[in-house]
Amino acid sequence: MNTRGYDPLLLAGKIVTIIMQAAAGFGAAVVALVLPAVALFKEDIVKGMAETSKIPVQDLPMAPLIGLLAIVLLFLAAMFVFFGKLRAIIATVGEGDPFVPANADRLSLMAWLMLGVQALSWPLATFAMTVAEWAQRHSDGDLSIGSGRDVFSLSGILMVLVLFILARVFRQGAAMRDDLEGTV
Amino acid sequence: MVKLDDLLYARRMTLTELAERVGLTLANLSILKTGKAKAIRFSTLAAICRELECQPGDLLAYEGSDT
Repeated sequence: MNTRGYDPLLLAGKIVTIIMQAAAGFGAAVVALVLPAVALFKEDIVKGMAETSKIPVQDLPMAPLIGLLAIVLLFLAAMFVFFGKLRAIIATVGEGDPFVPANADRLSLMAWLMLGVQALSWPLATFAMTVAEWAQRHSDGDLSIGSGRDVFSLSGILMVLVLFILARVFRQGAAMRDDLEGTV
Repeated sequence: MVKLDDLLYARRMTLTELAERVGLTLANLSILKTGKAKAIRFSTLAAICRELECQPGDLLAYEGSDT
């Protein structure tokens, strides 16, 4: 069945995935530029901040900050790939032929990416907490950064499971479609 | 083996006409004619036999491989 006619759900999906992929890509590019600069020039950055800021930055936790940036970069790269794969799946639905082995592979990769994101949540929260605690110490009540340690995300775990199961469903569907293709 | 060519010739019918009469696309009927089909529905077999006034055995034959 070719669904090339106007389908609001597919159109919305396409628009959202393009926006999300563009945002993730842009964010990743920015972090990719900032991260090496922070890592290589951290002493100069701290010195510059000390001259211009009232906040004592000598004890700025640079290692956790760099770790935080690195994990954010991985997150954004994973999201870029994730939404790219989702967009490709939506395209096959629009063409009326979603049950292909490529979609099973895409869903499997998306599941692994989500699992990786879930796994990175703990170190991300730990680094973020360290930086937040530093900010809290020096904020004099003007700055408040919240960073919870509640990293266990049931919805995230469920999403991983659903994606793995969907990958199996699509693999089975592709096999059944292949059988059907030669049936007259 | 699918013996569609002989039956079409005997009935003076083209593949296109048969496709229209049985409700199959020409592409699918060509797949059947060239022996590339993996399976045939009973409904399709019945429709072809109805239009060509034949029995399934007139249309299909088995050729075992020499082993």
